[in-house]
Amino acid sequence: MNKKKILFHSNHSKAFTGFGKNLKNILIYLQKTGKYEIVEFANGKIKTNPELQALPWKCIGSLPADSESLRKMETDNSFSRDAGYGKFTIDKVIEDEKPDVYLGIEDIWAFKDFNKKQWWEKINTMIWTTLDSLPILKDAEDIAKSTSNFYTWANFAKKSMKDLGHKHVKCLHGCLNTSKFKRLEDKERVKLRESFGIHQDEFVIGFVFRNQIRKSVPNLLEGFKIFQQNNPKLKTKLLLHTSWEEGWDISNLIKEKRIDPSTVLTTYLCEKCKRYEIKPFKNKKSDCRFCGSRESQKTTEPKFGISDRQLNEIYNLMDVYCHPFTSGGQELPIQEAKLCELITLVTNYSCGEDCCTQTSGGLPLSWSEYREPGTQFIKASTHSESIANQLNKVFKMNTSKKRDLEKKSRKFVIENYSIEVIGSKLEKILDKMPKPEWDFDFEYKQKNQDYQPIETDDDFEWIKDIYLNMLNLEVKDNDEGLHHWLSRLDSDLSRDDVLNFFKDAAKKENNKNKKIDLEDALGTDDKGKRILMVMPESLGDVYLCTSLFKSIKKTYPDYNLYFATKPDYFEILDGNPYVYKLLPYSKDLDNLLKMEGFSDHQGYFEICFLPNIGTQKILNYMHNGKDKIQFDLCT
Amino acid sequence: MHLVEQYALACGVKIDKPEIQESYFPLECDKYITLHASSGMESKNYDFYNDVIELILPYLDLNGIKIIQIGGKEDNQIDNCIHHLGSTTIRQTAYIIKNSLLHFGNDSFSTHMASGYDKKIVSLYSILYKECCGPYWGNKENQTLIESDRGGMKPSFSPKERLKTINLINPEEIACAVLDLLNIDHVVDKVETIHIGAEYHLNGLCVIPDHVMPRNFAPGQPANIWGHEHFDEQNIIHWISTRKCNLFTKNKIDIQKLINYRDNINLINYYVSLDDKPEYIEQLESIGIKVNLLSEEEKISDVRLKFFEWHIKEVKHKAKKDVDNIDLLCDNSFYKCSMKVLSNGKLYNSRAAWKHDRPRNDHRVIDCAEFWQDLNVMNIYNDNSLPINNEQSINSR
Repeated sequence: MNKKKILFHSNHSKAFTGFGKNLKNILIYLQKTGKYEIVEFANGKIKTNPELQALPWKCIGSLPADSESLRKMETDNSFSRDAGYGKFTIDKVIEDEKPDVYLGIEDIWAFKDFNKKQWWEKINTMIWTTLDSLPILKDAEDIAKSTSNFYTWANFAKKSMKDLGHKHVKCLHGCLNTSKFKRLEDKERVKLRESFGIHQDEFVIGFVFRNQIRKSVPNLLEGFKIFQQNNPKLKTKLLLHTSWEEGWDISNLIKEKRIDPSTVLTTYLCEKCKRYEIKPFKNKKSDCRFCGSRESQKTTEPKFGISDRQLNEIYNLMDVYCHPFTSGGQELPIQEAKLCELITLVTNYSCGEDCCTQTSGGLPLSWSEYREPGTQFIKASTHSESIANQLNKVFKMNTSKKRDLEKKSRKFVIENYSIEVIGSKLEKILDKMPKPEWDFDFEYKQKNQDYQPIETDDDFEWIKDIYLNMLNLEVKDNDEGLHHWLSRLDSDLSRDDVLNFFKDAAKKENNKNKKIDLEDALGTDDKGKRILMVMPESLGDVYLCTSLFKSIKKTYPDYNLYFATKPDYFEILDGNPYVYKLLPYSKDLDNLLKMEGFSDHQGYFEICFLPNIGTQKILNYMHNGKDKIQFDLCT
Repeated sequence: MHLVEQYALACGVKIDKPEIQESYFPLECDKYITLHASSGMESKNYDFYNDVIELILPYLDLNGIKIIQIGGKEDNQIDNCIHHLGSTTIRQTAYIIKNSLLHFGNDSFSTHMASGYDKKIVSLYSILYKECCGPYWGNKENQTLIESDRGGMKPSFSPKERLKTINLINPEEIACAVLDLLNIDHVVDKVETIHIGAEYHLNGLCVIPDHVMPRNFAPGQPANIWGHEHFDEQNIIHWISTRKCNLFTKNKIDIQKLINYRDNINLINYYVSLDDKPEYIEQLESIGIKVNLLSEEEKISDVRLKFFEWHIKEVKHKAKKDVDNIDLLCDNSFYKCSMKVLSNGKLYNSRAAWKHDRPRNDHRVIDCAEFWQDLNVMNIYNDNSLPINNEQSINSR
């Protein structure tokens, strides 16, 4: 049977991130069905990384592997970010792999302009993204308009998209392996507490999080303090499973709020023996009581984390789970806590709306709106009083009601977030997708820059016609570009103006895509006897180069001299007796190894000169105009 | 080392003569010199070629020599030249240069081409060293390469400069070099630049709204309306109804009257004082008019505090002491001003000339506050070829 080929574009399935964990679970599930040919396109991994070969499915890294790109990634943040999201390699991967389905699972900005790519409407596309704040980004709306398969991780985002008119948007939660997290037997829980010196009558409030500013740590500490003040006789502890070396300065916040530091616990993990310990935070490094190593313990962070089994134990130390945040895509720890049958107190905003209801085994935390500088996003500032009140509510809840709510927590996650449920939903979505008919022909189709539009009085038809027949673009009736030109025709432009704009665009696009096929451009009988000189700019420099040709010919009498520059400058060289052939400059020609050959690539020229390197890329000739050459360079 | 030497070293070969096949181009004259007033970089382009031409033109005319300006179609046309801008191919340009008596201009391909033909060359440099990119071929005695002193700085190597160092070259230096290489006797060396303002190359018409002109006056010509020199709301509205304007004012203008012509107003330069209220500025901006707030107040920090939301530009008036080479000022000092003033239908050479009702053929420096305040748009020079106090201007030579 011909399997459906799915290209999954996300964080690497071995990454310790929400996206990575979700992908791992989904791919394992789908692989087991035997119905699909899976290709993973892993963001942030170098294309040729050998680790990627050791997976149950094919995996290709998103980062280009050529030395120039690698160098640029070190110095250019924007390039590096785009490269990480596969902007420069995705087309080639689609061309090579020819998938039936492209499935992108990432933050929405990872897909910016993907919907304008040549392949986007030719194959099945699906976006499964986290949108965590209002107002919804325009990028999300643009992508949603261009695919019928747009899924959000939370219902909050689905509702917001529907309110904007994108009725086809649906919610599909990120999935969890529900077997990894569960409530332990009571006797095991008692033992666990004993092992860390936590009394059985102590009320432990937990929060598992990456220490980022969007996690509302100050609000939680304030809420914890109010709760302590309201219940002075109660022994209570706050367990913060996080890194104390990034994000919020938790130690100082505790001091500032005059909270007894012995009541705030954290997880220390030993670098040597990999065992963990729960205790109050004292120093960045601590001695390991298990293996006896000095200063081998530190708090956890994304690249220094505990196992799922250990994390499950930590949840089982808690009496209640509290997750205040400004916004979030899904927040996996909330679901993990629920699987451990904990009542979850969650900010009633963003993805929190799904997990703070009674039916989900949760309680809502109220919040006030603030705007994030720069993005202008609405963010939530969770009320500390609400945290204290809800903690009080859980603490005073009668046992049977509490157990009832705790059980609901686990049931809710199993029914809505488990691999089985999400995997099965995804399977149905994928199975409904038709086999695309596209032949994956990535050849550039010349724009018809000389096209004469149809004669019609209807501006709408007239613009659609030039889109189609000049730019080869079939635009929809609600296309923004189409409506832009309609309004310009109504206000300030004539049809001639608009037509000229389209002509220019077609011309530019044709010039940009003008490719030289070196095999065709080169002579047939001069293999092994070719010299290339490349001088992309400028008129004066090309003219200066003509003074070298005679000497080149004299030095290499049996060789043909090819000269590459912008076609605008060809006129200078036309008829020059020393030049065998002119080539239009393209970036490829700067690739010395490609031109001269390497490994099993034979190259095209025996000698490729790039004299502009020392004058246009690096000013290696200035030297205050004072350097001297000790030999005669003139004939 | 020179550019072409770097190329030769990179290729491991020797340098010969450059080659290009010229194409014939029909020309209006036999005896001519060529001017290329542009280049690939804005910072290489000299802004005062009109002044150079003004100095050499009488001598060239006497010798029957024309000036052909070559370059691209976007280049600024220099006065008194035959223009072949964007109308020739590269090979035709080569033909024109090959048959010229001399080539002058910025550092560009045409200079290399002239050098390949061993033509006489006057070429200007500032952002790169002339040793590295000057003419490589030809008789060095026939080449005058003028490098800006850049005010003592090293080259910027920058395609854009805030204050262009190429403009520190005086027009008479270029003019002398051209005439000397052509072996034409002249007294241009008697001309001595004293001061060229940073905005001297920006020409403009400044209208005093003490009058109106018929609607068909200079159609399409934009204007600076100087309401701060004379305020007459009705006349101002008339002027802005006829053309694109930059409006200067110290008085409020009725917003309702401005609304109809707001598309014609590029910018309102409003002299704000402590008596003003921010609401008026807000109203102007709310109808889509760009406002630039200026202040002459002594306590500008108080104005800035009151109008904290806006950027207040301090109007700093120049004075006589700000003249670059003040020691050279004498009774024989003349000026040219890039801002002509139109008042009551009469054109004046400068604001000071308007204030003192000086005729257009009088180019003597006017020793008054208004004159020195406008130093930014002035070219002040001595012409020692003229008798002291001769009222003839350089234009009439």
